[in-house]
Amino acid sequence: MNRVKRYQILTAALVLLSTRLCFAWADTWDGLKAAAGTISSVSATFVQEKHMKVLVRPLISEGLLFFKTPDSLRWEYQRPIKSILITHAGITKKYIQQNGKLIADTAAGTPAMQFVIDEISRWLKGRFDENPLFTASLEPGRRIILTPNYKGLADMIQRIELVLSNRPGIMDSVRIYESENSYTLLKFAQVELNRPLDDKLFEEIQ
Amino acid sequence: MKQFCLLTAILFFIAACGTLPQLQHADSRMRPEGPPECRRQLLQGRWQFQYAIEATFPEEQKSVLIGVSVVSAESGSIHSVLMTIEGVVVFDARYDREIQILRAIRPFDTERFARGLLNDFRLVFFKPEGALIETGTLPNGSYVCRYQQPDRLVVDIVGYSDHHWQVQQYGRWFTEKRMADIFFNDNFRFDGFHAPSRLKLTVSGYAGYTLDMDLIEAVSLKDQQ
Repeated sequence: MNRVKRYQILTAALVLLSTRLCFAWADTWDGLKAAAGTISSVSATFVQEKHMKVLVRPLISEGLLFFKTPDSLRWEYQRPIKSILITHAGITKKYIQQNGKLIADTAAGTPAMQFVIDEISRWLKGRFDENPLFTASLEPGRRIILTPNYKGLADMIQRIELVLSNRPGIMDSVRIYESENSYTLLKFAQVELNRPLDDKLFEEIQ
Repeated sequence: MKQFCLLTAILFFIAACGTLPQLQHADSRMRPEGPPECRRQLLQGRWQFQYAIEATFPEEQKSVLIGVSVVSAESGSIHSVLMTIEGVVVFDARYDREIQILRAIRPFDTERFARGLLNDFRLVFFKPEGALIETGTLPNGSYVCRYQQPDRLVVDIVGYSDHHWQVQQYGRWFTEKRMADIFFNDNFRFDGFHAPSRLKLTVSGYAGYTLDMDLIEAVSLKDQQ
């Protein structure tokens, strides 16, 4: 075997191994938790698409996401309506733009909002299978399906589909089905892991 | 005592009832199409409108929503959806000869609200049903075109000089008044259609509310299914 051929085989083996490593992280719940365990912060942009049968074009919203372990989150919509949700050290605040000003929204303290925040934090920590309200299943293609266990919740959310990136610890998209004809798709981009994030980002709207 | 109670009840009833605004220089010799002052821009074709909405209900916190309405001038159908910024649908109803509520969550979960909202969109985008019975002016100089609708409802279309129209619908005993303020802005033209840049829907009386709606986008659906 000449040198070039050996190099080619070695390269192919390395590619296969690295691909296997990338896929392996999303093969088991423990693999997901282990991959997320190396993450101290997440910064990303997102595009939210609302799809409904009645809409010829989906409604588009854009925003930013910041997460820092253990439980700090900033979920910020920049368009079409500016809205910022911040949670840090157990305190959650939400602000919505009204008449050109960001006004505090008392709905931030409601159990419904806390449920959403807890769920997002859980996903970012790779703990997809730990919410008793949902049955989680790991599907081929790095997909996780969450199905509600209770009728009351199923009336609101039929199922949630999360698609994981080939980069360990990162989500590509979340699709929340209200019905077969209505779903919300969140697509994440420009994801940065473990960037130092100041606590102020989660305490103040700035 | 009985007579006193009856008298009190009658007085309360009379007090609860309103009256129509008196028109000056009133003219009731109407041709069906009415004078030019009655002609505002109405919807043609089929459109999808997206709004940012501030909703105010009694005993509820003011909430900010995204609203979408698909309106067809040809069929007279309206499909209206209200959702949170996060995309959770809180109201989904359509009118196509009859009202069908597909999803409704408190405080939008009454048939009265669905009927009222879809009615308001018809008042905003379509010519009022019924006959034009009178025209005239209000003391502030605004021109009014008055329509008699089925079920003894009355609709006044008030034209102001500042790109602003107001549609007022009065109930049978004038106990409920629905008002749609329609604002136009020269910057809001989509495919040649001068779409209302802002709508303010106000319902007075029991379970009244206000929806203040700023247009985000209007999409013509003429070439789309």
